[in-house]
Amino acid sequence: MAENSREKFLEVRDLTVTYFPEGGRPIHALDGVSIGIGAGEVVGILGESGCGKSTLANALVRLSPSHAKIEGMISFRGRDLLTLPVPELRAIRGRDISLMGQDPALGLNPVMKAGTQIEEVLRAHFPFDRKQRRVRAMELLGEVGFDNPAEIYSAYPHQLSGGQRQRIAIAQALSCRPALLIADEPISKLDATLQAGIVELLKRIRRQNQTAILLISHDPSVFAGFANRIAVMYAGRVVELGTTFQIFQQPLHPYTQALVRLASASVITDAKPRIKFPAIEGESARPDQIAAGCRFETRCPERMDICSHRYPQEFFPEPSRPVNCFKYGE
Amino acid sequence: MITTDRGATESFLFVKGLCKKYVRGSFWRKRVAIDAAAGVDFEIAAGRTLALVGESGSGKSTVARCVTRLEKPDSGQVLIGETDIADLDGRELAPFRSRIQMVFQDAVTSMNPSFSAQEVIEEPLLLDSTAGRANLTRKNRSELAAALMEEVKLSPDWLRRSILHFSGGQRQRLALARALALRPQLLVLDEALSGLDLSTQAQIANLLLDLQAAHGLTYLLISHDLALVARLADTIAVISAGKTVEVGPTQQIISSPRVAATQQLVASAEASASNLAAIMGTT
Amino acid sequence: MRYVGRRLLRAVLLLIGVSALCFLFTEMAPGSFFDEMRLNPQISPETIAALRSRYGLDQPIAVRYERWIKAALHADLGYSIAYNTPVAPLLWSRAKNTLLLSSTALLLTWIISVPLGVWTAEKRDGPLDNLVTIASSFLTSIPELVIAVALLAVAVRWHFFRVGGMTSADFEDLSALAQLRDVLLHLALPTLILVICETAVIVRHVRASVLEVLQAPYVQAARGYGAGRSRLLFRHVLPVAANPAISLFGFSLAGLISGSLVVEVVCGWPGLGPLILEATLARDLYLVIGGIMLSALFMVGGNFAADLLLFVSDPRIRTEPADAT
Repeated sequence: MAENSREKFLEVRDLTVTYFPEGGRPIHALDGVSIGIGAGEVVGILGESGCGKSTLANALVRLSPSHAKIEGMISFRGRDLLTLPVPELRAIRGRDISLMGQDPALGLNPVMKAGTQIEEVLRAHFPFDRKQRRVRAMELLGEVGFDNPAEIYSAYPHQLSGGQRQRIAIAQALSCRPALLIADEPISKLDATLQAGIVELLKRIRRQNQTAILLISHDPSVFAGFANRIAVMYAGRVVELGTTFQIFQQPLHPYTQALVRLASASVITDAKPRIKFPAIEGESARPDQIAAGCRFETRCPERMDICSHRYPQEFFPEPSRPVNCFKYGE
Repeated sequence: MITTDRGATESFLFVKGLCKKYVRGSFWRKRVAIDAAAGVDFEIAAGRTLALVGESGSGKSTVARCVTRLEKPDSGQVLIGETDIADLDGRELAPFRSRIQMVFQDAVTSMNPSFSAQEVIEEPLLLDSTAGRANLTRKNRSELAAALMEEVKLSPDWLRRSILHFSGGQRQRLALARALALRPQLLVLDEALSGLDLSTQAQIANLLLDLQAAHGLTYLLISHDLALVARLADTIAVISAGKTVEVGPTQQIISSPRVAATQQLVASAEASASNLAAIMGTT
Repeated sequence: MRYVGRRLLRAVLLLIGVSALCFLFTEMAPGSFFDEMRLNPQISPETIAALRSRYGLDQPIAVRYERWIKAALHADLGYSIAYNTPVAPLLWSRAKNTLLLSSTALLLTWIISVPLGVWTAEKRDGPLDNLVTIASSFLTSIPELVIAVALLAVAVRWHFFRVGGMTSADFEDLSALAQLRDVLLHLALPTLILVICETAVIVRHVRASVLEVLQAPYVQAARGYGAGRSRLLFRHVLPVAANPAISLFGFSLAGLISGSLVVEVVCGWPGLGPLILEATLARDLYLVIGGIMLSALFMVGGNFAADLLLFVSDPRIRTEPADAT
């Protein structure tokens, strides 16, 4: 996939993840996804539930379920993560690439203090002694915005609010100053009033540490003013790629267009009661029933005959602007 | 003073001074009283929508539970039409239960995972003791369930399917179908749109608007997301620390919020709006 | 500390309640020790009446109860009519034997079950897991009595275990070391039976709770941060999986006195079980009540110990959660 010429330290090529759950049909969660991330870049993955974004996040650090088959290549600083021996992979997890899961309430161990959980990450990668770890954990708590790090350090997850737990998760992810932070739906479970704060925190982290961020969300507005590039995913594949500006100003794929339209209609300043949302009709494609042609075809307002017969390959209406849609070619 | 729209429609739901304390602890433990609701006032005209908006922990869910009488309020009035249901119990309360139904946030946990879609929808019909639906035969119930599924844009072919096969958005539609089974007049939607994808949220919101137009339903919408409810609600009541701090028509609340809590909510919503506006080159 | 105090108070109240119920039920049960004697024409009614009054059995129940409680507080549990000796020392001498058996079995059971449960949870559906699952299903569906008798039959053929009682006939003549060996050989069979029966149950519970935690998001998150296998297991998984296991351990403790009755009777182990059985059949009132109270004491004590352990090990019990409306 031709992207801009910045050096990519993480290159994903044709990543395919298939789940084989017991007694069920194979689920094609990811189907040939390719993407690259450059140092300090913020790349957004935009897509709804079931499009494979969490599968992608987990596959990048090889945390997929044991019944999953992963094919393709994930090249991190020249090494293929998929073939790396486990001890070397562990050295990378949390240290060079950190994964932050979706639900902060569930991602923290219920019987460990918050501060200890941050230290656990340090422990896995650095030979600090107990005192050094504690100092570092307190520093991190301050960095993620706590005014009272000592109190938070000794608190257990059930004593903390949702927003606080999310900040702890961020502190854990940051603790070893990773080159890449994968944030899987970092704000979707939080109150609207807390969301901006978390996004600001992530922006600050990126500025101060030059951390690259792979930001995953179903809500386009998260990416505005933050992401450099956005990859739009649908039913296990990337269907469009472009800079944030391009995606919002001139979305090419009908799905992207519908999402952007929906996001801008959802803003509060335009709200007039009783006027319907410009919703996308139909249900998202089920990952165990993949159609032969374009997967968005059944919901697409601009579908053509060819769309149900062949899967649209990549077209380049502009350089570095791939889109999988027959509107732009044959 | 509460401003309500005075039109031809009378107020269907009138809540005044609603208070509810939760006491944690027992004989053994030190009793700690938490004021979940400490004076909530609002009213909704028939066929209209009121959104109760506030942060997590502000008491919104408590209000929802008191209005549907899942809990009994400690004090205050909950008037449905002319009757105050806050103090009613048992048999006196029964006829009102079918008139008010609730839809919960997490469809996954509000439904028995071993049920089929049909069983989920039919359950209120089986349990309802009032005369309206009591004499239905099994066939009637099936037909009714199928009709309800169509109303919520689900295929009736899926009636027998286990709910485990339904996606999050589909389950929320099922929850709506279930809520409509007894032909209620008031639907309380407790964060029913939270935790859904943007596109699914939009679909369900549109469905709510359609259902309201079709059946003349009154909605009490509970949410932390002001931007989401602004499209659905005629009136917004802002709740903070268990009290209603501001009530007014949607446009007014958004354009000129008076109280700090409201301003905060509006500011968050506007922040994400301005981000979008900036990137899209619109103002 | 309030938590501890509350649990303690509850335990005491429970014991008092049990003692009252004991009295009530034994009173309600038909028959008394002297019924046999009454049938004997050689013993005159006056003798019986005198005996009854001597043992205080002619007093109304409330009085008897009061006297018993007062005495019990001084560790005097009354007099055994059948054995013609005070109840407390009799109970204690037998209880020691029972405790020897059941504590050994408890220790071995848990030493085997915990690692086995953890291992089979980690290597789920592997050959060991399948073996353990089949074996434990099989064993839990067979009554303890059947297992006991079966193993007894095998032991008698095999001549390795010493069967019957706790000591051999020539026990007194043996050297101290030989005496120890003798007891251990006698202990082996009943312990084996108990361990087999209990492990089958406990290993499944341990496995289930470890399995649940292994799949939890916070464990996946810890893997995502590069935690190694053993760190993950010992620091992230086991502390959470311990909670249900500790409750179960409390049940094990609770059953230290009462759980081995069948085995004791089958193997002839001179423990509390056979004693209480005989006492009940003979309507030996105070021995029965004393035995039940001792059993209850362990039950309540075992649960109390579990509560304490949970308090110490699980911070969710120790601390107050954030308020949520």
